[in-house]
Amino acid sequence: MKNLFRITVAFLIAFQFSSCDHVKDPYPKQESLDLDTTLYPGNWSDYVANDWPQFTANSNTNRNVLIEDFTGHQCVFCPAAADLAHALHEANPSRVFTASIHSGPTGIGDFQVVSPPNYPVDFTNPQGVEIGTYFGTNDGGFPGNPRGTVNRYNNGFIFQSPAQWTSMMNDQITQNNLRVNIQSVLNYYPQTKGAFLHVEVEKLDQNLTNQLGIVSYLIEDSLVGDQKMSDNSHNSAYVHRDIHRGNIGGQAFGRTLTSNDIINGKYYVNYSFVVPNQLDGNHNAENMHVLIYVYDKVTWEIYQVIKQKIVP
Amino acid sequence: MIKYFPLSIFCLFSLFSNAQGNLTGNIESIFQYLNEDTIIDAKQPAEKGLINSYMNVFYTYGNFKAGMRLESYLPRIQGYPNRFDGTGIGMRYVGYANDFVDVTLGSFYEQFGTGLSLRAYEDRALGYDNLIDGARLIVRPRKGIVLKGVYGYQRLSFQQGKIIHGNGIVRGIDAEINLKEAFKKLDSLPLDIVLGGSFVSKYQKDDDESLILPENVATYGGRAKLRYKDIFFDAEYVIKEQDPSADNQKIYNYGHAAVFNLGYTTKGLGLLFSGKSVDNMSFRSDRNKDLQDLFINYLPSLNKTHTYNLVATLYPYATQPLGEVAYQADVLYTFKKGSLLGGKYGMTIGANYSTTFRPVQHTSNINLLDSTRVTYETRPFDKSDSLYWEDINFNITKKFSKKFSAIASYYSIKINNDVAKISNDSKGIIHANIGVLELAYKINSKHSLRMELQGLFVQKENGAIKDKGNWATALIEYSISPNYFFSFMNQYNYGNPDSEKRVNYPIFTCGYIREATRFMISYGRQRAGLFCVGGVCRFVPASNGLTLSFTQSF
Repeated sequence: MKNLFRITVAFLIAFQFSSCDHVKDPYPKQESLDLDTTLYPGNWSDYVANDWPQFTANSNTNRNVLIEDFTGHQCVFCPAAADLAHALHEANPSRVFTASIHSGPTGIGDFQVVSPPNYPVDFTNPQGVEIGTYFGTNDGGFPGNPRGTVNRYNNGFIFQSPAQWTSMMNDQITQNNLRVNIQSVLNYYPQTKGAFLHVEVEKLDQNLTNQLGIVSYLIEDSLVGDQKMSDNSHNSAYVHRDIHRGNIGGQAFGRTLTSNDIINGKYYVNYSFVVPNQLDGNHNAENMHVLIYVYDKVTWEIYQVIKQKIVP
Repeated sequence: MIKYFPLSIFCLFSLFSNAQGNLTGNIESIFQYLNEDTIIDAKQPAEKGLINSYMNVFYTYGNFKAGMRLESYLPRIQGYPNRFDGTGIGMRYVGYANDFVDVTLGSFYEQFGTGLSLRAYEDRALGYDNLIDGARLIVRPRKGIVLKGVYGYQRLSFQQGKIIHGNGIVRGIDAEINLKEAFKKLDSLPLDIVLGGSFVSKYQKDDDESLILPENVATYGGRAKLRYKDIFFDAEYVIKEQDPSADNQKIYNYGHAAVFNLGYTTKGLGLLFSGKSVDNMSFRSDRNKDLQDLFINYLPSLNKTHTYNLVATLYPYATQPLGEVAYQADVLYTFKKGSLLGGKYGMTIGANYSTTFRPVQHTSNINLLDSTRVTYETRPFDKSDSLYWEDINFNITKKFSKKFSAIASYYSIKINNDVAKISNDSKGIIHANIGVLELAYKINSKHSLRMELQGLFVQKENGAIKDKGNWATALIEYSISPNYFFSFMNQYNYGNPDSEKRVNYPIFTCGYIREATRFMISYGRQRAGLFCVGGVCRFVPASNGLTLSFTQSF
């Protein structure tokens, strides 16, 4: 009888952690789409009258490419992948953009963890970790760093090893299948460190029937910091490039474009945000830019990405 | 590591093939060559030939056990889920079992109670396989007590020769105790009592931007089986907690399922009364799936499983996991040999009645404008007058001589085509009356003849023919025991309101059986429709062509 009792208790303990979740209010707190007008150093009516942009026809005909490089400062094979991503950008500076997202398939893993004194800087952020964690176990998953996506195009898998990036990028540049066009205007005010980002999205291909999502990555252009190298050495003067600092609006997968966003057949999305300090603590808006992309909510494919400098 | 798992099993088989042990299994292969047939809208696939093949191998050596199933879809036969392709290992496991423990690692099938909380099973005819890939532990701490624990991902599909798992992980425990076996003091009690309880939980990440979804969803419940002399009673009741899904429009209601069976059997007489109440009990390991994908639980159908062609295939009823209240009564009586009605060889009559209704959804205490997304309240067995299904049927089996016997059957079926969708050609309740006469004649000890005549008559509505109208089927089967059989069947939709669709569906079948080997060939037309087993259905498109099948057990 004692054995029976022990076994029953063991079963119950084993399962207590897998009990159920109770949700009283299923509706998440909504991302506020209201602009923080206090970030404008003046009367808001003046902003609306003078600085609110009027978009002209978007003359762009090129489909751009976003390479998301999932990396880590203690990942020894990541510097080579970062070099490749940067080289691909350098070769196509107006059409290929890079976001270095410090996350592994489980979020913050051994490669991303902060471990002073050699690796004191936390390159991670909640949205980057959420993206990594999601794709770590969903939609084909990815095994570790370095891995990346090329417009999140599903070439058998969404995540690809760096060896595939060049050919996938070339394919997309060559095909130049522009299905969604984006243009943006950003007004930055150093007095408040505040910025207003205005985005116009035009769906060119009406055969796109899946919902579209829009995401704006805040990117720090470069930072000299610590990195473990391929020979396991510690490099304290490594140039980290295109560091993903988070998503404007705080949503890892952005927001869905809805009919509420449409004016005269085009989607308009507006953000306000405070430009953060660099990871070294200094404020330098010139070292920051935004990557704005629109993607398919079902397939994840990114249909267009543009780069918006904070300080022109 | 996972990809080396099948290889490891193969190595184990090889290792033990030189040792003593027991190897069993079976092979099945079904090949179709299909033709285009514009009359019944049957398409010819680009490949023209289709083939499904399976081989199960089970090995035991002492307490060790291992098994695997190789599957091949090159490509899949008609009606199978379109995501089955390639050749590879579709099921594999290793394990160890003795009187105390039974542990399995890899793929396994399992059922808790009647399956209301968990049932992982394969029905190859349906293309249904929701096996769990993970670990299972069964412990028998003493006679009469069984504890089970399961943990794993479910099989969703089979692509490029590999198992594709669902997104959610399934965890479950179950305990069952047979009181008389467990406690000797109760040995003299004339009542057999078996009690059980189960708890099943699934985890799936919240993937919805607009709602906070419960990531861990539990189902739990209890059951009892009682037997007193010729009377038996069994019942199970389970509750499912909040499980917003594509099935239920993401409501946050709890769900429930309850079934009971009360029966009496004695020589010559069998009585059964059953009931079932279900609300919001679609329980899948991926909340976004539909059709027959990734069900964790199983809701048994509460209607007689028919075997005659027209009644079984034209208007089958699929269980409604979102809600139904069903009852069934079944009587079987055999008149003794030598009695007035029994005659020289006896006579058996059967009567069966089953009916299913929509449950009542109370909204008087519900504020639909609040943010709970709880949209109604239900109570077990609280039925509305909205009919989903009704089946009244009788059959008489009579043997007239040593050589000649007959079965006469009548069925009255009403199905709500708006809910249990069976046809695109009708709305509302379809009411069909079906009569079947089966005659069997034994020519001699080896040769026998069997014939079926069936008629299905759909009741008109306001003078208009409903659905596809009336049907007739004739079948003749000739068997040469124990090796050969030949049959010819023709379905004729002579009452179709569209005269161009008054089509014959002839099919010729013959087979050869030798010990554990069976070959079968059939050629003819098959109409489009739902194919159902136990309330679980799949759509089978119309086809015209040759089907070859081969099965072998060893």
